[in-house]
Amino acid sequence: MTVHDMKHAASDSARLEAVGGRLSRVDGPAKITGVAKYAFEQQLEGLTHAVLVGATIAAGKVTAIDTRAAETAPGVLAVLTPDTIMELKGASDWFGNPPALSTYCPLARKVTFSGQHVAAVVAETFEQAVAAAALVKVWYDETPAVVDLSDGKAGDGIPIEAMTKEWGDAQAAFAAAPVRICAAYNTPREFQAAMEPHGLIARWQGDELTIWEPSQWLDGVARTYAEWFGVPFENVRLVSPYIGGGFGSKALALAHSAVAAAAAKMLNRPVKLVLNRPQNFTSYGGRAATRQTVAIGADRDGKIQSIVHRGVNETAIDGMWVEPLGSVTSIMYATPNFSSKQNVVRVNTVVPGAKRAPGENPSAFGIECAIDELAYELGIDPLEIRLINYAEQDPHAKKPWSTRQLREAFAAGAEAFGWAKHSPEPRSMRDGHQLIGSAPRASCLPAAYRPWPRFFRGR
Amino acid sequence: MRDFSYLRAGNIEAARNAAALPGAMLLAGGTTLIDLAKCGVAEPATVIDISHIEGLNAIDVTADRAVIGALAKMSHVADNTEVKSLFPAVSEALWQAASAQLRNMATIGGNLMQRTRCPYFRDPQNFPACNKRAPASGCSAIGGVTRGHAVLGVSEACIATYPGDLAVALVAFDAEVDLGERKLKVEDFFLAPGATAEREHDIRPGEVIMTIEIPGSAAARRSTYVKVRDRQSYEFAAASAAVGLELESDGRTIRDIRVALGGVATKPWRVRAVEDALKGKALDEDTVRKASALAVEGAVDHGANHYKIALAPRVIARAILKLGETA
Repeated sequence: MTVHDMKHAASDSARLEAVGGRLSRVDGPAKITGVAKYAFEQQLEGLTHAVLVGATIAAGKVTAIDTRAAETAPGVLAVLTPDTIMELKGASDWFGNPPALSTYCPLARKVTFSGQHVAAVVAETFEQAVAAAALVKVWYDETPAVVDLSDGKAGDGIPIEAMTKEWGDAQAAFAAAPVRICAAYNTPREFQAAMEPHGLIARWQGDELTIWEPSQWLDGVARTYAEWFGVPFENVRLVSPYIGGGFGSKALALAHSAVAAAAAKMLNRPVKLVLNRPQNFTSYGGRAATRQTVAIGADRDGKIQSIVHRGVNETAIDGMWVEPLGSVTSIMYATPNFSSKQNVVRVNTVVPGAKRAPGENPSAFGIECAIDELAYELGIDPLEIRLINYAEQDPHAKKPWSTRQLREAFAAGAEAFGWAKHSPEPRSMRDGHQLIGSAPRASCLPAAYRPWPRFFRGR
Repeated sequence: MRDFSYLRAGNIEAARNAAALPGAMLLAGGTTLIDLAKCGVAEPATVIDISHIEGLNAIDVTADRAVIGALAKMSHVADNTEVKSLFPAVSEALWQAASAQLRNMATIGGNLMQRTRCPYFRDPQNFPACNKRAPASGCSAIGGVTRGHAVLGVSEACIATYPGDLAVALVAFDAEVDLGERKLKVEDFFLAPGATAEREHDIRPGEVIMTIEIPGSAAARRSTYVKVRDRQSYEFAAASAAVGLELESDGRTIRDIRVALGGVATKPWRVRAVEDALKGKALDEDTVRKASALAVEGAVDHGANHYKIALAPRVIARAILKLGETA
């Protein structure tokens, strides 16, 4: 890996490369040379170590927890269960909406997903905490779980009216269209598996709380701690020296954060808690699994007459996440008739969360694959069909774009990619022994609605 | 806390003596043992660190044979000039194994001793039943998620895939493992599960892998390792093939051919049926594909791993045809 010397970052030559050049991240050299000291690598006097115990069932109730063996294990300072951890106050959500419940317990009595934290052990050393955590015995009353969207028990879910976007009469126009395609597009749960796992060190000094924790949203996370413990916002100091990968997952204070901060308060000693790799898949969301159907009706010359889009995403039993699946669908192509609706389905999983362009990513996947299907059905070049249906204005608001240079970008991309040499016939292109295919792709982000193109070669 | 003794062996005799202790396990690069201890599979009473023994990391390669010390690092063997020219499949298998960091740490002897990546085997807390860990406890994989599990050499006791790459190349070229008192074909060193899934290697208490010897041959010189996997690096094989090829002077008749499979069997899997079907035949795509299909005769799938039965012959054919092109 090349380590760029930041000394030259402000030089003329670097500025010339700012667009399309290779720029170093400010913290890149420190990270890759091992100099960076991450949040929970702080050395504090009297530091203790917490390890979580996760549920081994996906649905049911914790009926009993036997902590005796763990409590008498070497080095153990506390074994926390829903009955013994201090009571926290409910905290507002990330939009600032007040909490539904006045109290909050980060350890679960009611289990709604496998791996949910049900207990925690705090010990003098990490190894002692790991060993003692294995001695905590948990009994459950297990009930049937909905595994995922494909589970027969999952059902159709809950309609999210706010996601409905319609104009014209999409169903009738689709039915009347001379050329129709309809296809299903599924995306699996996607996880942020950052190199730096989630974790923190919490230290109380009187009613002042210092948290060393990687954070993509310092104020919001600090506010949550303040609300949990009923202390002024100013009393919470959040120290986030680096983020070793976040991808949206490090924007909230999570249940394990509350456990560590509560343990530090209860023991009056600093507590370090770092999720192990398996816990990184069950302690915070990741992108919800999605299902979409995209139906497009068009004229024989490729002009789209209707897009009918239906989407579903998974959410948790006790938490709501809407992955906005119509966000790109509604904005990419000119169509006089459009309908997009979305449901969410509750399954036994940790509540999904924001991951890298929430919604736009699966939404673009669906509509961009579907328009290729339409191109193939009509025998029109996939790039050409995108230009035939070019949205000269916002298709819904019927307002002009502030800037939209997708046509120019397609032209530049096609030139750079060598699109003219592309062949649409399946199995018609090879690179050595490998069959290859290619497709143009465009997408947009809601912040600016500036679509950008990509050209892909698949194997 | 799980306590254990740590001994540092200064020489091979000390290592052998200590290895005979009950519950003793050898530590070399540590990339397998420490992983297994973390996930609760390995619970050694005594850890014997052999990484300081001198002279066990030599790599000695001639046209006749390669002799590789058990403590040689994977990256050193992969990058050895003679290995690359005389045993390319061995070098390629190593390059495509693990990650750069692991290859720099892991030893060749430890590589042979790595355990399966069956997720049920490696999760004793959530899956107590595993015949490999606890004889007669059952198999959690059968009836479970099986996409990575074996289709060849399986038994009712175990369908765990042998995960390695190097050993696939070794069995293709009749390599031997020197255990001091005994020398075994690598092919025999690995044991299919049968009714005794807990026994993966024919190694006895007190035995230490000393060297691996690979006989030189024309087929080994013209050899390759093709690995197909879900991502381009740091991933185990969906299916892989080590293939060596020797042609007659006519440049098209197959004199000698070696074929072994990885990622699809419970041990490094030599496929002599494919070799026998091709020896003496002209090298052409149709012949190669027909012969390669013999590799999966008798294969048994468990649902999600069905694709391996279709994939494995194609990987073999790809490897053979690739060698055929590089005359």
